[in-house]
Amino acid sequence: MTRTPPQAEPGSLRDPDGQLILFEDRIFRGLSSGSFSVLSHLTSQGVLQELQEKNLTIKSDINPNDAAIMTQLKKHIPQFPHFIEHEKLNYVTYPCEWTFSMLCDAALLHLKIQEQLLEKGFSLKDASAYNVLFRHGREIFIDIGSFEIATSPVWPAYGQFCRMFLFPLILSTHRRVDTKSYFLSHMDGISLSETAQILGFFGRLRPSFWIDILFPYLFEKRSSSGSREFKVKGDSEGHLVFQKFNLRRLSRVITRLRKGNEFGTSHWLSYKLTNTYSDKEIDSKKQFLSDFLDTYKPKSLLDLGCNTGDYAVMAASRCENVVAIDSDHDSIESLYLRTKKDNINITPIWMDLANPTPAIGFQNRERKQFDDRFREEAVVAFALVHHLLISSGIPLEKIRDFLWSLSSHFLLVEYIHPNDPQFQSLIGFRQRSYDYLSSNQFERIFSHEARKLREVKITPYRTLFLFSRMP
Amino acid sequence: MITTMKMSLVIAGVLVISFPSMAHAYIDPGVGSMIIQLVLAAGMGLVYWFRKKILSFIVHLKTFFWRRK
Repeated sequence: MTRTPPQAEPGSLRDPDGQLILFEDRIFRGLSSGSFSVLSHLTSQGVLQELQEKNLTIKSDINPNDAAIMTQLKKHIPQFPHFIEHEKLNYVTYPCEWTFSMLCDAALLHLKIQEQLLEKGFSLKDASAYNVLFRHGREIFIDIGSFEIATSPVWPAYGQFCRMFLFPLILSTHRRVDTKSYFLSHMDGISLSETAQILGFFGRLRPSFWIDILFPYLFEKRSSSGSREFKVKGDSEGHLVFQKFNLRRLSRVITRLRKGNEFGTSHWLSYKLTNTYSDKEIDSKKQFLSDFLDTYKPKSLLDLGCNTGDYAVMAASRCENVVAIDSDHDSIESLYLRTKKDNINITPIWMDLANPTPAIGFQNRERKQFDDRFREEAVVAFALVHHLLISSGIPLEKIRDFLWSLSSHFLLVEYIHPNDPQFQSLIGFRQRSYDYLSSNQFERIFSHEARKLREVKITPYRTLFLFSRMP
Repeated sequence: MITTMKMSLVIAGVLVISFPSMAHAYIDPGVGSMIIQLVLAAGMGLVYWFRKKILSFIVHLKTFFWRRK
């Protein structure tokens, strides 16, 4: 059997001092001598252990004792003298898939870690939102190669912190700017000048923006280009006092933004209250899912169009991993808060299934596209197909192929007859006829290279199907 | 000893404003973001430096108004 050689993960290509490596289904990080000695210092002072115990940073072994693996790593990745091993997280999600609260939590995590590091004379060299992942509704810092000895009197990553967290949160709150689109088009978040321009002349005069936006914007506009040498002498204690003050101030600003943004009633949240589904219908869907979970015991499940995630929560009690996706921000936000509160093993994702997250970054390789990151044992698509079919105009065969591309074994899908009130309301003024879409036709299309395992008619117009991939 | 420390704090603030920029980071620290931090750091340093004078001035004001009453 030939082994796959260690693969450098393109997501960390910008950091000269560290590189993430995939090998034997494990995650390693190659480190320069400087970065490694920082981690050794942090370990000897107990800081790293403390951060890991508090679940702030990912569990890591800085001296993996697997000699065979280490030899292979050193042979294939000779540019790094040291390797550490990280715990492998199941899912990678990106800031463009996070909700407002998730971005707030990732920001507060950075501030918390930076404050703890400062106490011991260390600092975070960057503040990228991509350095945070979510596990069971908890944010976790993954890039421990970003720790360095604090040499600067100020926090060099403060500018990046603002671009990645503070500005998107401010613009989302004060200008209702869609942060998702910014993260998709800018790897480094929203720039200072762009933020100031969106806020406008009077907008940026608001006193709470003076320190983070107005004055830096004025300085930036007036600063002349040219080389600058940075030499700092003097007492570091004074700088420490200022940095701590600044971190606490930022943390207060973000907490305030978060409180001010507690969501109202969005279309889908109210949909949950006002839709035409009867309790009986919901119960029969739950029963169908429950029977499936009991019979086939899938390890992982993907709930597409999850709304506020009631089925996902149900599945989470019997599956190891559940991913729940919806295009409505507030639905995913409420699911995230619920996941966080009750520590449920769900990974919530805010994404439009008709336009999933593309691959972005240098050579389109730094951040992977959606369907390269998710492939679960079972895919649940209740009350979803008609949305993709009518609202997004995607042919049924393509929807089937898309759903199967995310599933390794099972597909649970709901058929809705064109006479169903929900179906009719979606059609609206569209001229297209969907009369061809009988239950038999639906079943025939979805049975392509798959086998029907179960079929339950829950109302005259709605049927649930369970398909299994042909071996 | 303490005076030397305070003095160096203020000097650090002043020096820092004179040479604003970063050399080693691979991310863009942002000129504006760096300067605002340096200015605030220096500002805090100055407040700290004149702390006793500011306090004594406030006490002086207080006693002045108290006498007038």
